[in-house]
Amino acid sequence: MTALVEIENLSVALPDDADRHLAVERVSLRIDRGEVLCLVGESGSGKSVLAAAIAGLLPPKQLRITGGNIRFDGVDVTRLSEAGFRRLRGKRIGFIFQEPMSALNPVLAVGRQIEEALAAHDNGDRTERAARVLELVRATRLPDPENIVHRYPHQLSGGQRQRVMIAMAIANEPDLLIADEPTTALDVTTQAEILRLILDIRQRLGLAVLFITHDFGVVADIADRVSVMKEGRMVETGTATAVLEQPRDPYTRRLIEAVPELHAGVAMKSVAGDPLLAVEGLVKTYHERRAPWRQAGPQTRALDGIGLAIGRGETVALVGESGSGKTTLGQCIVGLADWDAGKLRFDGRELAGTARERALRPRIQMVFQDPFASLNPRHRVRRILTEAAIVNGLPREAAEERMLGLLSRVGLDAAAADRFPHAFSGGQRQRIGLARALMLQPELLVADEPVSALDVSIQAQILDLLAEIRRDLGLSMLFITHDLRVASAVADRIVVMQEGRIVEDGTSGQVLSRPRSAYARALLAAVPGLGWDHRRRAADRTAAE
Amino acid sequence: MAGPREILSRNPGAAVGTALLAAILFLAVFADLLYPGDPWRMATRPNLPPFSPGYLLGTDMLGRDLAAGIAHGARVTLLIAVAVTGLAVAFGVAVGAVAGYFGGRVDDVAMRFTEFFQTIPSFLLTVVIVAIVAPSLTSIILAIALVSWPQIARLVRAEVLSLASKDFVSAARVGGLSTPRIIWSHVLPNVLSPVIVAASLMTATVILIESGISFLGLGNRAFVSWGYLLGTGRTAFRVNWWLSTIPGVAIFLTVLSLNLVGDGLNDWLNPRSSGRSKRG
Repeated sequence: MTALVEIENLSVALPDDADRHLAVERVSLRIDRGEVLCLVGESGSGKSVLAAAIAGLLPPKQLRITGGNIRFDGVDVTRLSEAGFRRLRGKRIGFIFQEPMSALNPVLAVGRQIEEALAAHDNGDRTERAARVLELVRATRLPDPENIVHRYPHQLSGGQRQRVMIAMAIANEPDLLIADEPTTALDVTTQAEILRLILDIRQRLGLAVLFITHDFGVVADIADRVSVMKEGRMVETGTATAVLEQPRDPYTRRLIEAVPELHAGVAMKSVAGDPLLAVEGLVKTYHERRAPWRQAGPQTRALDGIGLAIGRGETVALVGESGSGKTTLGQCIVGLADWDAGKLRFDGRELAGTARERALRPRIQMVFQDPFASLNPRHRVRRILTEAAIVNGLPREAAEERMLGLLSRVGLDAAAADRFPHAFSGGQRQRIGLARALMLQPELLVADEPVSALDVSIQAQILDLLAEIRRDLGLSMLFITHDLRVASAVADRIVVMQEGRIVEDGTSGQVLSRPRSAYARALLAAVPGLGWDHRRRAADRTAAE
Repeated sequence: MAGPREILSRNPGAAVGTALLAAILFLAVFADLLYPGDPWRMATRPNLPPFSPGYLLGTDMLGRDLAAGIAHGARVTLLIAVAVTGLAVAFGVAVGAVAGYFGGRVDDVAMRFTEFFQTIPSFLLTVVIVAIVAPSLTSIILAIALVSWPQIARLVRAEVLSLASKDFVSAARVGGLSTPRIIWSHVLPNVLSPVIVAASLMTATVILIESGISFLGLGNRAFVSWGYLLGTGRTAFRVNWWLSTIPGVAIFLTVLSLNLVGDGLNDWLNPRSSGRSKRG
């Protein structure tokens, strides 16, 4: 194999006021023809900057190359003019972005956008191009090719939009496909399909793929070779098996250990007695809002007869893809949303919906997904933590005391109380969010994707913290997640939702090893890195013996 | 949050604006001490040019001291501007917050009501109201406030709409806080900086509207305002250019200083922008 891209000692400078000088620091990297190279790193590691540098997509005012060179097929591209890059991009380098909705033009039909990629590099006349567009749409396995080319991006699903992006990227049969976290915004089953499609196209066209990701499961599924970046530096490069199974660098080792293994943990004792929370036949329908004199719009059943029980001290993971209704169910339970029919019983008493049972409210608390949106930017941590407790009748001194106890419990020091949220990192903010939920000494904690916005090493810390807290406080928890790995790391029981219905409900051991429903089986099969998981477990067993 | 001193040193425009505004306020507050008596009083010879001894800004055709008129006019003009802004912001924020937070039907009704006022040319409406009702200070203030609040309401509604769906508002609801308390202490403080900027701009617009009314001769003759000075001086512009130029400059400087101060306030009140130097 010959090298397609050779990067030598590349350095890219950050603007002066950034927290470090170089986004990328003396990085050397080789991408061979036809290989899949995965570039792995946490947020801020410089992996996207490196990819943008190859395609000449660095924002010129903020980031500039200060040293080293990038050779694409023998030509040094760091000296290339914008016009030179234009001949390269699209023609020889294809690019797929993370968020296909913002990468596609919302006012142009997708067929036009694919055709544009062709027209930019002179590919025959209109009829030839139209034929080629259809061919590409078929190659990316979009349904109903003749009609879908006339649709607009918002009429397609996330997975379909990403397929359109791929069609555009491969339109001119490039030598290199750069994919920057192309599946991060997608559901697992869709992710599995897109990954398969990328591998397929790689094989058919013989192109090299630079795949940027933070997910080691994805790496295990598709990579030939892996490079790991940390704070702008390359810490390790090697074949996929070498890096995943015998990582040399301590940072890589830590990252890999932080990936939750997909198997049931030690099952907690089975829960006896009345459940703390019982949900019976819960129904919630969303109506499209229309003027009163028009016909009622289409309805969406977000919850379609949900029955669920959570025992005292039990952690239930609620797993589902986007649109399955899992977040709506969580909102009904904490009192952020009303429902149309059905019953919610908490500790033997029936809940009536939002804003009606103040007295019960503190006993059910919530941890939110986005650590940046869940803390009021104008309040100091002290107020964020104590306000609700004081409103609920706790004297100020007692609230402060409880706050200090909780800050140290979630691993923050007391000085944090006097700072504003923007002084903290995402992981620290999530700790504050958890402390806020615990301030009211709840019996049930509803955690809606609490780790999905965090880097994998931070995610592992927060999961450990959650496990520790529920062990110490005997909390019940409803843990909403799209990630079966995370679910298996925290839950006693796993409940799978699809289109507003519960399709599977069992202990995590049972759901992970013998799923009963077809959907749970599909979801399980789509988890990236399954093969790697088996090897990891086997290695763990041998190590134990 | 950075201190006001730090903001002023980082934003020289705000420092200049604050100094200007302070000077104008000083003039307004101490007008009676600086130029005692009725500013309409005929004090000396007519048509004295600026920098005449004892009459810094000259006199008009009737020998009235222009400096006294400017000082007393500052008082009237600023009083009207501040009162109108206060009224318009209070009403606009209330309508916008309720519409944005509750959404649905409430939002529909509030916004159609707002649009009703927005579809009428605002300056004409004020002129009509002032012309019909007796032009007292109160009626002028109410008339201008009536056409000024919709922009604040729309701004606040848009901001509240996006804030109400933020997780920290949900967290406050889960924490058992009452709706008025959530709106007052969680939602509205986050709307503060755009509102303050809009309010400072509005103060400037109000000064212009009020000047326009007085210029047209529809204002209250009992009070000297800058617009009135500008309007009466206009007829003698070929002879006494300073009679309309100097009130014009006063309006210009006040409007400018309000804009600069609004900018600086935004910088100061927004905790994220004051942390900009530390986090990229």
